[in-house]
Amino acid sequence: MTQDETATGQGSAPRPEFFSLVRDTYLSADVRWLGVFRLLYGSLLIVDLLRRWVDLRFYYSNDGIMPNHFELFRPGWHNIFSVFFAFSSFSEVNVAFTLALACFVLFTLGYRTKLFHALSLLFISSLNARNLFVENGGTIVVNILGLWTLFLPLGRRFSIDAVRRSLAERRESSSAELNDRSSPALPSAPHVSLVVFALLLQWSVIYYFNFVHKSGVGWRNNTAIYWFLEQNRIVTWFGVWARNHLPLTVLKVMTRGALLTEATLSFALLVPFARENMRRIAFFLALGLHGSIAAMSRLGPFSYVMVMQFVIHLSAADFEFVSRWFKRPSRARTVIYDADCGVCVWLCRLLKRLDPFERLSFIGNDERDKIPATLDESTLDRTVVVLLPDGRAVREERAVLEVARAIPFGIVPFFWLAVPGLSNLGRALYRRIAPKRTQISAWFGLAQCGVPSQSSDGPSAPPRPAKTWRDDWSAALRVPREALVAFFMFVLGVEVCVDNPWLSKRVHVQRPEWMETVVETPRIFQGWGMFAPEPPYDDGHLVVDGRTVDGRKLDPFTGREPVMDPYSATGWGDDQLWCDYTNHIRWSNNAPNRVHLREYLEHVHEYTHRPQDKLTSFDVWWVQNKSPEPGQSRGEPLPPDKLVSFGMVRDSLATPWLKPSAGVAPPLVPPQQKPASRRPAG
Amino acid sequence: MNAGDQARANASRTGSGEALKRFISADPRSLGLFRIALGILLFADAARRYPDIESHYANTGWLPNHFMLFRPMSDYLFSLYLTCSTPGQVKVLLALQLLVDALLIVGFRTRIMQVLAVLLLTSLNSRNVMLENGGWVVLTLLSVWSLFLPLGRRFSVDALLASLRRQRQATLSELNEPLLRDQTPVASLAVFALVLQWVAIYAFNVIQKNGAPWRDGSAVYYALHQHSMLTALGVWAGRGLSLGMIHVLTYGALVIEAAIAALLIIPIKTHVTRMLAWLLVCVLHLSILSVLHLGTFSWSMIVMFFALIPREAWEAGRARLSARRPERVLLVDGASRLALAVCRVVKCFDLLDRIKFQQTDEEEKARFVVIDPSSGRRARSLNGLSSLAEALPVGRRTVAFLRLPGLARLVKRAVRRAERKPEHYADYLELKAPGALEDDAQVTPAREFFRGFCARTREAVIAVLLVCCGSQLLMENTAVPPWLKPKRRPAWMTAAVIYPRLFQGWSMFAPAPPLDDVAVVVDGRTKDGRHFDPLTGREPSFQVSVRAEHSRNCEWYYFERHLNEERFKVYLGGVRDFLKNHHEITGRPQDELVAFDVWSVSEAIVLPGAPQPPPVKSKVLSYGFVRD
Repeated sequence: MTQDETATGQGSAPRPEFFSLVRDTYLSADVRWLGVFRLLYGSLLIVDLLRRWVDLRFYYSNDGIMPNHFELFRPGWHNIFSVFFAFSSFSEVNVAFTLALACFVLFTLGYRTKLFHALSLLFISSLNARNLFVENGGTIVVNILGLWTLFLPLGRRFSIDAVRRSLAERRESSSAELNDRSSPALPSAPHVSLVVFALLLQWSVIYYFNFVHKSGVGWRNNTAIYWFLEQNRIVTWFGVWARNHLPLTVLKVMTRGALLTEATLSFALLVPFARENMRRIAFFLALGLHGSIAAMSRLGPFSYVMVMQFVIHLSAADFEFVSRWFKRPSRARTVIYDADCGVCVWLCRLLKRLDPFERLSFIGNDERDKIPATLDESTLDRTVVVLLPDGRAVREERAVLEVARAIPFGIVPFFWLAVPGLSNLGRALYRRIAPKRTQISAWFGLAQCGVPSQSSDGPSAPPRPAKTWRDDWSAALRVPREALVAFFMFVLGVEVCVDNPWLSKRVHVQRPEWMETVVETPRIFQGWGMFAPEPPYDDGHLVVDGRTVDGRKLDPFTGREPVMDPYSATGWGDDQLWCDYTNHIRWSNNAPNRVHLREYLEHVHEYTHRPQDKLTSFDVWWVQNKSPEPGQSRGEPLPPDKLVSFGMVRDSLATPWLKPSAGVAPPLVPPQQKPASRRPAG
Repeated sequence: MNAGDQARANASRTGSGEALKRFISADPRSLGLFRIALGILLFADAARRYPDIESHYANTGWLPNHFMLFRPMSDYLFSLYLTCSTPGQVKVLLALQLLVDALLIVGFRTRIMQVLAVLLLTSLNSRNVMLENGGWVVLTLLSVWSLFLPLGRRFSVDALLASLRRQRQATLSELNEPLLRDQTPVASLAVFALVLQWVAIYAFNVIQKNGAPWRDGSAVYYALHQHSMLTALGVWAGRGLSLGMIHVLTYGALVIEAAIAALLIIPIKTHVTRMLAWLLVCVLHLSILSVLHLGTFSWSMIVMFFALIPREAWEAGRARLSARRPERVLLVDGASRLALAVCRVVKCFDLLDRIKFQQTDEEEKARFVVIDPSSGRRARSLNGLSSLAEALPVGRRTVAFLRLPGLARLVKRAVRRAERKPEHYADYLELKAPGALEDDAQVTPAREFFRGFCARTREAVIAVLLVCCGSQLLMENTAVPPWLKPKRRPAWMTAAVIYPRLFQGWSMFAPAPPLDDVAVVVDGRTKDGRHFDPLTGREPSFQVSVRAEHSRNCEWYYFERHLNEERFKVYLGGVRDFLKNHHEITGRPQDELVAFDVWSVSEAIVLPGAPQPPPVKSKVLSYGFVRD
């Protein structure tokens, strides 16, 4: 019995309904959605890496605020491991990022999926561990999702691996074989594994503890969202708009809604009845909750990765529903190809694999009876022809465009063929390449003009035997795989008991050191309390009161004069990395790390190639204020904290804020003046 | 290889370009054997470092990774081992390195393993540059230059799988035809680079051995009094050899080194000169190995020559071995998919073409039967396997392990089951029907183009690396006149040399061997008042010669020799912490030191009869107060 048969229950004695219910509800995942998930998760990894790449020198090289030697000397946590520790200089870290990007891209495309998934997990957890100051709940969830999904066959569909497997399984040589979509059969049986349940449980745990830990005053009196939006460090323009335009009542409703949503999501995924509807509801609730969070604040990958996981639990019916868009009759195309041309036949075989919704049908140009009479022989010999649903026939680059339109997202690499001007280029290219197709076929060892290929396109593969060594090998691997999943479930279950105050007060667990290592090394913590128990009631950001060599006042992180006003009516516009870094560096226990910030600022002019911006002295301040109460225009400023000094800043801009003189108010920034967003220079 | 390739290979053997071509060519069989030897050497080198993980490669030792990154011992330093802080983490990475080396030995995914082996070897060496020695550098050079050679083309799992894919005999007569094995010589600049590299090593070592001890023939005496690196035989030789013998060995070493360089550079009759050079290399380096712990140096120098074994030697060896191996006949059912598959595998291993295949009769159909044609005796099952193996190059030893208790029973059961249901197992293994087999290993023009492009790129990279190493050679060796030394070079060239540690300064015991013997002595006091030296595990002794009784390895030798150098003073704090916490590594709390002085003791080596000056002690560092 094959794995697919096991999954679908074929070829075995009828199972009790209870087991089928358990299997279908908690242990199964549609392989198509797994393929979609891989594309989404891989894209997230790529985007996450690219956004960090912009500030690579500052966060990840020894020129920046966290040299590798210092992080190893004074690790921010136990059992830290990162391959990025081996890369010190700016150039070296660029090399490391390039390797990471290559792994992420290959994983996303589904090439040797398992291998590059494991390497991607290694790189992303290493990237997160390299600089703990920019770590947040989102990066931890990324690690966790990467780990759990390592046990899933993400490459079985919509991947290069799947296409290659399919091409090797059957070598079509005629249009009849091309149009026979039953062979090779696309894997569609659900994948059954304990890890599916682990994911359901994981997400339920996340929402449950986020819900129960939100026990503070701000959550109880429903003002938490209000305070959340007053965090100028993280609020987006939409969040600013919301806080300026939505009445407090609405914000209170949103607060209550957020709590209810989290509470619902904590059990919705585990409900055994009306499974498909419950999962859909959960998906849309998560989309609403996290979409709102992402729209109103900058929290890094958190919101996106939280929503992404739900894709794994969508059903076959959901896939069929989404497929309707791709299966629209208007997307149907008929491709008339050169049947004598090996590379043409090969391309048709490839298109067949890229067309899961069967929008393409194929006719060889030697099948005259099936071809409209309006198409003459010379046209059919010269170019590929695509017949559209309205009866029109298009040729050359236009034909290529129409074929791309039929394939899911095929228009992305070929949209330019529709742009006037560029389409002429496309046509010129087509006219240059098409006549050489015979030579191209010969070059690749494919059939041309009646000459068989060097490797002959043989008949269909014989029927597969009942059981082969591959089935035994898959079955043999299943046991250790599931055992490993169970092991991680146990370890993380214990971690849940330790990391969450709500549970640790009730359940006392002593865990061995090796368990801590298993959790801490890949950074898959289980403490869930975002903005809990209370939302933040104060806010702040970093200001560098610097003096340049030519006497100017300069904050190198904004490129302008330092502004010590802790409040902004429009938000600071800083990114998540900066927000988390500055929020960490201000804590007194991280004071030993501030020396690197100082060193960075001493050399910042070298990185920006602006020698005139060399700082001869500076003070780095954490300027802060209490968030404004409802009805207030601005919060009460708090005395700024000096974090780092270099040289002597004589006319410090912080003085009025430290000890406001009688009758002399500190210089407030007008509310309509948009402050410069902060980012590392160079 | 097709007939056209064979004809071209034959034609190129005659003609004036033959000598040049042979100079830069290597037989793929030689490369296969070289790969196995190199893999074993890499494996052994990594394995022997295991006991010293806590001392030299983890944060429990004297050089924590954070300090190495904070104060790197070299520019352009990169090491994956710097990501590992605890001994456990280092052991995991070292285990991975051993796995890579093991896969390189058997030739599985050879190209990838070559790259990983080089990466991990250079990482391991770069982790602690103070211990760097000639052996490390030579092994790295050997691994880097051979990275560009197809080491997996023969005697490898990759070669076996490629052969099974490429040649799918469908009938017994096809099986009885000689198998086309890859014997096309590999012509590459990498071969030239290896030869040139070895010439440079020996030539500069000879030229730069111009100090007094080499001139007066006493150099070997001084080498045999480096007690920290002596073997037991070395200790005996140092005490027992006469001065006359010492002179012979000293001048002999110089002559051999010069001869090796000359023999390697001669472009004619290379099949003779290179093997002669190898013989001299073995004599020289096995002698050195027997008396000195020099790590991988001697073995690396010897192993390189496996790649240069000439075609003639293989053919002569094959002829001799073929004469000694008996013939065998394997009776098979030519219509059985399983039988044909087994025959194809046997054919791959039958390097001497001593096995023939015949159609079985109805009685023995589906049975595994081996016939000895000389005696007519038939053998079946496990005995049949053993009989068949006698026809293979290594003989019965190939399958000796199958007779292990437990395993033998499994093998017999497997053979019986296969004999009873051959078609069932053919289906299980997804073997195709004989008529449906395809020969799909034809090389297409696209593949040819791609291979050609890769080959040209590869040769270009080798050429660039040759230039980089050449400039390094000129810069590092004192024998090169100043006017020939490059004054400047681009940073990328420096990085290309230093990142993989491809140094080119060849002066082993040159211009003279060390004229003193150095030992580091830790005069420590334990909590319970004992005198204790954690480096020896005994009472501190300032007699340098006593070191010979418990000499460890060349890494410790270089640790002790370099410890007092000015450039490493910044790392002494780590040494202090290492000694303070040494008891935690050994797991002997009673050996915890409460105070110690670390001394570098240098004892001049004097020739017999000369007065022995007193040893010179210099205190390197202290901890606490050592009263007595």
